[in-house]
Amino acid sequence: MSTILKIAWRSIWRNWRRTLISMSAVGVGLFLVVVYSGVLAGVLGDAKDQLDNVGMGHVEITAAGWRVRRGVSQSISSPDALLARLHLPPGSETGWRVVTRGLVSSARGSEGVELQGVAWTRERGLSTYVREVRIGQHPSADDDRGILIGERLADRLKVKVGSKVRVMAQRADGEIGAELYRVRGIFHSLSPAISRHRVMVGETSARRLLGIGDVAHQIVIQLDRAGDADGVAARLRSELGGGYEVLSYGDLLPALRNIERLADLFVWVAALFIYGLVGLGILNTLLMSVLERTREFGVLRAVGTRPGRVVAQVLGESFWIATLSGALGLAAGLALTWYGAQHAILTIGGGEALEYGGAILRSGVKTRFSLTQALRATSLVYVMALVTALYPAWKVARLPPARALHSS
Amino acid sequence: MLLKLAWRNIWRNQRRTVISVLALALGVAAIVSLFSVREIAYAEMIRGITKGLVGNVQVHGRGYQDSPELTTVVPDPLAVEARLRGALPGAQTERRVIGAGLASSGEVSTAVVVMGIEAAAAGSQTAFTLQEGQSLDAAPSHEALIGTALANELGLSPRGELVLVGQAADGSLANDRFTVAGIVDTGSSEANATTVFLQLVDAQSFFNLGQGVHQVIVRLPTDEEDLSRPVSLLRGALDLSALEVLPWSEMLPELKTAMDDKRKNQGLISVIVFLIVALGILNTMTMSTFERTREFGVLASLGTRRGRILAMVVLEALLQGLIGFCAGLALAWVLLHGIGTANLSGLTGGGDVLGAPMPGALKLVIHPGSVVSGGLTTILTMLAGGLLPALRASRMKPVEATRYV
Repeated sequence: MSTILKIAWRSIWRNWRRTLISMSAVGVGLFLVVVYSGVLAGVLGDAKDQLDNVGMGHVEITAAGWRVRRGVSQSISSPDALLARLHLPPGSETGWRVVTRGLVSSARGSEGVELQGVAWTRERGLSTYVREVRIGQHPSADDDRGILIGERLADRLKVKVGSKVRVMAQRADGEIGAELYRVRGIFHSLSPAISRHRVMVGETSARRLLGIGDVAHQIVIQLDRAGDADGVAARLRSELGGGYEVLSYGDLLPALRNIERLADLFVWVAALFIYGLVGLGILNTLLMSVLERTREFGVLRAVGTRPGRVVAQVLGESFWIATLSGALGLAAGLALTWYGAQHAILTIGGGEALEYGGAILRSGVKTRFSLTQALRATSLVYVMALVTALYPAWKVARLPPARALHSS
Repeated sequence: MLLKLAWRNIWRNQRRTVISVLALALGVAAIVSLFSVREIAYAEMIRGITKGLVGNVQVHGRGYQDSPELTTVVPDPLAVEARLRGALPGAQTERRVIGAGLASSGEVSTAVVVMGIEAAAAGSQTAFTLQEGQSLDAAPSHEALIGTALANELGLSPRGELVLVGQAADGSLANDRFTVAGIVDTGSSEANATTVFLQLVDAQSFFNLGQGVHQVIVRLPTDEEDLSRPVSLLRGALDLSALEVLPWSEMLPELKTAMDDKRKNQGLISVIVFLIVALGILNTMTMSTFERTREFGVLASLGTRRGRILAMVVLEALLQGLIGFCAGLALAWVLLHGIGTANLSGLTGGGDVLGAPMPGALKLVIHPGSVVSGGLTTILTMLAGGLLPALRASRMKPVEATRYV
């Protein structure tokens, strides 16, 4: 075995220029596949891990039917008690929200919004933008008149911290309720829609505005690991029984699931294609290099080398090419994905983020560094190299020694 | 003669040529198909925007795009429309009012965008399609059209009653009842969930705007993405101290940059793909010229000029490029026609991307631009791979080369 590898090693350097050119083609191909899968994983991972940028839970519980028709009275009573009953994995952050749609107006304009009544301390764990209010701060727990609004809405209504706004919403009794609030904080959200169309007040204040009791419309659960969401949702569904709707982020954002599936497909197609190209390159050079040496192989056969050994030697040459260029492409690919994981190396849209069917993708893409993915791509290089080497190997091994010796 | 020689030369080692051409064809097919699918999808998205609610160009009161206030209006829209039509014959215009409101029906209420439109205008016919009921009368009638998702949420069907609450331009509370005339599909999931269309006059009186409108939509008889010429014509015709004239790309700047970035990123991928192909070509061309060292020596000693040898080898590369390019085009054609139509709207679960709906059924064909871009990259690839060996072949010293076995 080691003799074969040694001979193969020497053979590939007999025409070093050719070998280096094929190697660089293989290396560039592998590099491209590693970086491409890193970029796609980065885009997706980003969207998935950043649900709290849009205040969406990994799992959300609502009263059955609320998602279709958001009636004020279609609510979950005593959300606190309900949450206490649920068996959630450790490390979960939970909270509830009173949710309705309303109209916010200032002297300079009005805008339709989603009004959320929240428990501030819990909400801090659920939404990044509440945790990191840019201007002012979110209202305190006993602040009945404070409201938190987004940057774009503030811009739209021309209000600052301290300004007064009027909120109108439909009450449970069918009348239109209206309250005056004072802006305590202005938040920044990656999502333009949220920045413009979401306002938050304390839960008691929201309940008074809507004329409802100790109820909530949404129970939000954020898990330690986003990947567990579907399992947890299924368990909660059976735990809670009818009357409730339990959805994971995958159900809430079908776009996210679709791009995940699509991205996998993209990586596969791209890899297949690139390796196809690289394979054709190797095939050509290997074929040339083997056919040039027909006479040499004839001599080998004539002195009693078995055909299997000849095949093994050609495969050995291909093995070395794959190993060296694989190492090179892998190193370069890993280096770039590692660098790209720290600094965004690619932009997929202007501004800060782009909204894709409700999911938020940061427009500066950071790649995801994944050694296992990269190693998988590298192993495919070996498969490709060995498969392409089979044809030239078989061709030369099959030649009768007498004919091979005659070739010049 | 040179061409004939080159053609014969590339078929002297058929297997090698076929493999190189195959690699190139694969590359061309990928670039051409990706380019075509992308551009067809973009063209469809742009058509959706320009034929839809946005239009090709809009005229607003100055500053409305940056800060859309109810009071920032085009005060004399009829005069503006006349000027627009004068500056660009063939352009269609519509007036529109836009404001925020709270719509309720029974126990459910939701925030909506109230849009006052000229229902009879030709542009409104393409901006949405009626699903149920009937369109708005030409006369003001206190009727409304609502988006499909909104109808669902409010549980409304035609003849149902809709209560609208909002804030008027003078700060007073606006409050009125409307009868749902019909339910419409705007093509955008966001608009379907939030839009209430009123007769222009009804909306103007609801918001207390007088004759003022927020947008004058200009629709042009073109599918061009670049509108700089018509826009500059329109800008010349209007008083820009009070008005602003914006093409769709400036109203949806994020979408435009996302499109341009995607183009750039895909361009980068093509470059890398062709780098791989070029390395393969470099290898085979080097080999093929190397094998013929003696032959080039003979040619040179017979007095063939360097330039001619160079030209011949480069021609060999370009000929292979031509075959690969045609094969690649054929492959792309088979691929695109094999798939037939693609529906991208499923990708976002029906949601919008940066304010524009994902296109539905796309008919896949080869985009003319992709042929140009594929052709250019092929030529560059073949030159990149073939020039070096060609130079070497032409630089050989006749005496040494003829002695080479």
